[in-house]
Amino acid sequence: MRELRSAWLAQRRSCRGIRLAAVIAVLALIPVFPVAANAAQPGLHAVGTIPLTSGSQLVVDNHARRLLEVGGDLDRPLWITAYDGNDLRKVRSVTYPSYWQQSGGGGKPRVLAIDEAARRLLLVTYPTSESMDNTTLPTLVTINLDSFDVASELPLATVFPPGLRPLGMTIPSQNRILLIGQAVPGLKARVLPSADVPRMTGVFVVEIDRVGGDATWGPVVLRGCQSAITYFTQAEALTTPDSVIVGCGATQAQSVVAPGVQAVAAVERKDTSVQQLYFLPGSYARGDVYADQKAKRLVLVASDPNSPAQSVWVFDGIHKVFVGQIAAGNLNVLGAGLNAENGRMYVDIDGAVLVSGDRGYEIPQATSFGYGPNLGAVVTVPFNSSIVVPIRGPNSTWVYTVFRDTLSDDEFAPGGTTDFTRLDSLTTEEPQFAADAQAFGLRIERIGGVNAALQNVFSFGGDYWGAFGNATGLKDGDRNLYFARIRRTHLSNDESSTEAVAVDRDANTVSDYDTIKKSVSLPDWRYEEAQCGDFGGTPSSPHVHARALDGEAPQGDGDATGACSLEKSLARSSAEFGGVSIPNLISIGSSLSGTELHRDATGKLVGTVFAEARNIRITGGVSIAFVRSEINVGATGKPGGSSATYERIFEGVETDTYSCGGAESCDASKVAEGISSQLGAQVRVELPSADVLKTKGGAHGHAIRDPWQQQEDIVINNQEKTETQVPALRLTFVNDRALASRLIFDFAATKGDATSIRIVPAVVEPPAVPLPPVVVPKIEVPQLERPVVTPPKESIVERVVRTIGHGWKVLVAGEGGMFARSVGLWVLFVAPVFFAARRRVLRRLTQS
Amino acid sequence: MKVRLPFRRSGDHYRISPAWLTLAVLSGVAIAASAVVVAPPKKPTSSVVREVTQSGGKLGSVAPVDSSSPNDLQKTSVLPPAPASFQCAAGRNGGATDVGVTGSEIKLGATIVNTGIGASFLHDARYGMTAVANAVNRTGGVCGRKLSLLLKDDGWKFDLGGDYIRNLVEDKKVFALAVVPSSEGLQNVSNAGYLKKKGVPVVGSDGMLIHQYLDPYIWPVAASTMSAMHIMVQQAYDAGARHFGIVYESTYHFGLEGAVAFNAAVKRVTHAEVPGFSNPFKNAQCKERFCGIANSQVSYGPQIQVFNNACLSAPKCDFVALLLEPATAISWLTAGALSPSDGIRMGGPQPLFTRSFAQQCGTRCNGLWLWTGYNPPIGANLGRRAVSDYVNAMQTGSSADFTNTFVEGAYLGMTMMVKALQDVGPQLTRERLIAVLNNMTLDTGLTPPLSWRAGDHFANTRMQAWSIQYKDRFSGWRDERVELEDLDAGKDIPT
Repeated sequence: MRELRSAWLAQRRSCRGIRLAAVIAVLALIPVFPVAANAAQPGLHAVGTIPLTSGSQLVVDNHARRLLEVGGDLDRPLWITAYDGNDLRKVRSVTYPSYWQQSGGGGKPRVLAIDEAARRLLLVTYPTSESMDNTTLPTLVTINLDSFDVASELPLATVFPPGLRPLGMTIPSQNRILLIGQAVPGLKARVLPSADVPRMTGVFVVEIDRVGGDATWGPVVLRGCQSAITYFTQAEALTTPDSVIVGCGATQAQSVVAPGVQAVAAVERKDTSVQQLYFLPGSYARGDVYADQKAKRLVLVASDPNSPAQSVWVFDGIHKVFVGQIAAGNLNVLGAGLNAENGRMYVDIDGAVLVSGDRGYEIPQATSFGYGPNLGAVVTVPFNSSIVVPIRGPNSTWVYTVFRDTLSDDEFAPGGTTDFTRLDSLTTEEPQFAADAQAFGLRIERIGGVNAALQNVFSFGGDYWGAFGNATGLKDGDRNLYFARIRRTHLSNDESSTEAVAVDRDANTVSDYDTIKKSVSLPDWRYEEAQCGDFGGTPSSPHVHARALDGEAPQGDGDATGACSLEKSLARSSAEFGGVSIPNLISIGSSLSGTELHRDATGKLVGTVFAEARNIRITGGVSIAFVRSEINVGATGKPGGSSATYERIFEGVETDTYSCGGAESCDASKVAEGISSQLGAQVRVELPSADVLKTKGGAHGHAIRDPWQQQEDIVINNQEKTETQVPALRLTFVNDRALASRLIFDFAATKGDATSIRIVPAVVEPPAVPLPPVVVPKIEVPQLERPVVTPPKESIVERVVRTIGHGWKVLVAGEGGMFARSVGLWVLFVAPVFFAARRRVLRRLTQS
Repeated sequence: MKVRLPFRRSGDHYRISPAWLTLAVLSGVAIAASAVVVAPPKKPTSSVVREVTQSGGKLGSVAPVDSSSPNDLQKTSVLPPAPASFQCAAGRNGGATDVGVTGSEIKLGATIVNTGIGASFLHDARYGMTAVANAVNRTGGVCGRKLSLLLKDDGWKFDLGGDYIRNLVEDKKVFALAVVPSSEGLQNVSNAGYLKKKGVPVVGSDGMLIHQYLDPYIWPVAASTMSAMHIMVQQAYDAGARHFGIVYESTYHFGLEGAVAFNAAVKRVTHAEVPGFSNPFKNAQCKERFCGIANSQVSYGPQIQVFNNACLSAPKCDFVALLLEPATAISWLTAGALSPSDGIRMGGPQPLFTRSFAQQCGTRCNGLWLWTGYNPPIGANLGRRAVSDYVNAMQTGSSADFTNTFVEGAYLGMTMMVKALQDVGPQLTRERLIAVLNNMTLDTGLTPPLSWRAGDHFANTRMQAWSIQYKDRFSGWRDERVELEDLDAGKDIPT
């Protein structure tokens, strides 16, 4: 027994190498095979912290994969500390005793830019602490990023004389820098109460040669822009081929004592007198602006804790529209950051970081990751997809935490607009066509409702941004009223339908009407819709004629009709309404719209859509006798067979600066200019753009709202996606401040499209041989709860051999791309075996 | 022959040759590797984050099936071979192989909603169907047969819809019913056993009501209302909720059966019924935290008082389900009922996933989680191929609201019909179509891959959550990155 035991022990000792190999094998298998099971979820993962000094700013050197902390304040000159971007260790620290930088935050941001190609860091500094405090004698200092030596200095006193403060810098091209500055009235008085103060007010931009210091473009004062948006980080300008775009925290477009409306200001490069303000709501007291030069997007962060309307807006610099808004719900926006390499946005909110992207036609709402409490700007590190977020640590300290972003780019893949030209490539053997039309004579939109208007007009204890709440008892949200509306007319190879109504209203207006009716005597709503549909067979109502529900049509009321016939390939409708008036603001004499879709004798699908408004009088001295838009579209499916036109007609326009009589003498753009100059800056006058397309192959023609303008309407004005009519004229009374509050009048709006797929005759097949009657064999199988795959029976030996063989195949043959990964595994397996054997051989040799 | 043993005795020790040692280790590794590789996939957990999509069947029990149904005769993926003379081409496809089928046409029918209250969310569904049918017809149809869609507007009326479906089957002689956006008429004929009697398959329906999953002749593409309620409860419980409440629509069937499913799901996780529960099919009332309301009520004041009081008394509700159609939900919330803006976690089903609902509901709905069984065409999803194809198809020749989940469902349902017809091939019969449908897997990219089997039509049981973002204005839906499988699909079906 003892012998057996000692033999067993000896064998056990001898097999130590096998056991070791087996253990390693099992351990090694865990990460290699079930990779997905243990993989971290895509998201933000904390990887470390970085000991930054409060008030400093991080700059990313992608080339050297370093993070540069730039600091200095009134008590300490400029200093730079470099950290390794991966392991977050401090690499180098340099102090520059001759240079003092604006200390950052609260309207005195650090102004800097990095030129990675030239390996240079550019900073605006001052020669002394006092001059920095007084904003006098600014200097552009260039630092070599490899040696950290000062490479050059360039005085900026001619660009920024006393009283003007630099707020931002970007590098639009080699050897050029674009600077944003702003007049600081209090500063002027304190530093230079003399006549030397330049006559510049508000915000300006200037481009200079960074070697010689000469201005190469500008300076250009942004008309109406009183202050640039900047808080944690410098103001950033977006440069496009034709314009320079800046975020304005307050403009002079106001009619009451409340602060000015916020906007994006764009100035044309070629003609700097051409400028435009694009208004947006929000509170920007602690807001910042980031430029995505790659995608030509400007990201505006509306932040002001505990005030309403905090969110992040995305402005498209090419199309000059707002394309998206990242909302924080009821939470505060506390800072943000933008990775301009891939357009990913990060937003600090109460207890979380939101992640989204600024690219594409429609900006997705952000994904939320719970971290915090956090505060301040998020620094993005493109070279290793990281961000640095200030998070509150113990004893109210701020811990700058580095997160690795492992979210896939697919999460924020940008979508595009629809490509209608692809319809030319389609063919059909039998007629396939569809046409669609929408129209209205007048639409009144009250964006934000009554509560938003009150919020923006009244201050609460002197605070215009304090939350007003619901003080009226009416619902929040928008209100829409349509007059002479054709909701939709549709004609296709399988449908003829239409819906028209004299007066149409949204659900909020329905609710308001019912609420007010409880206290004021109002008649029941009396406008029914004219609706018909023919889907083949018997039409539901071939001809409809709707009037007021009580059968009466008193003066001023409306009417609607419709006709549908699939057999005749016809759908037609009309709607009209009488006078509409808002005392002391506007009155409209009447409105009318009509649609007709049919196939003509040649088989061409034809659509005609029109809308009109008459006798418009606007308080302030504007009258328009007649405005109309008309669309004609057609499609045959043959090359050259599609047509599309959009026509805008004005007659009898009277303003102080412009008047015209007949349609021929009224130029639409001059009409808009005349009305705009008459009504002032707070009323935006637009001639909305139509996207008019007729495809070469003749398959499609349309005249619809420009898709980018439509997207802005969805984002800013809560427009329904399906409402793509093009108004002949739009007037927007802007009262945006904390909240969007606008009164929009759209006149004579139409939309039409026609699609007719190219017909290719079917290939004539030889007549088929008559087939015998089909006999379908009855399939009888046993009843099963669920289909179960039963493997063929095999012996235990076969199973073992098959199992080993399968594993062997996986490891050796590399099934499923496994081979490359298993190379490392092989090394692990073989190494202990090899060493165990070698050890024994060596021992044997030494013993012998 | 001399066999070399792996072990040999050397003095007091047994020694192993290095070659055998290596071979033994490698064999062990191979066994271990095969054990891992051939191991069955892990069963789904209750919480599945979308990026870690796991395969595997549902764990929920399957609804009982009438064993006499011809459905059960077709439980194999192997179709009998078509006669050799049949070919998938015009003129060679066998001609009139069944009712509604000719050599050049397949007649399909559906009831739609062009008028009435249901039109607010079902109106555009027909454009989802016609977009797919037109696309197929452009490429020559299915085996040379064009799809002919016969549509009837029934105004979402139970009786009229039933009559129209009977008319489509008996007078118009349709081969099958496609999608059938008007769910009321479909319920009428399904309840009456009409589909079974006539042997007419209904392919790609919207799944609003549970009967669609139980009728062996209906193949829904959507996740059911009951699944939505199961998933809501599971997600809320996993997130820490322990005290549940529900407001349900007592006018429509989806509200009643959803309320039953909700209570059962709550009972499974908390071992107690929702306070105030009574069978809504027998006694739909608003009591404590189980509140049924009718859509026709002028005022919800008394019910709101009952529900709010019950939910705010200790222990407070920490999750409330809003099982209402849009108009009633807006009336309820804006009249002062508890809402997400009061700090209570709330969830809603697919009919509330519309832009107009979010805009009209306003601040009260900020943070309301809505569940859908499809990949909605919003935000970053628009960059995905399958979704952008769907949007492009919808924007060709119609002004349809492609963001409407019922439009997307109709598009998907019609896609399913086409795929099934293609799989059947030239010898098209209802029986063969049913066989194909009962062994079908559909992977369009608009949902995870869906599979139907005989006796198990719960193909879509996975839903994802999006939340309304509204602060002073509606700014869109946030992807909450939560996608859950209903592990109890098929349970809680009211008798």
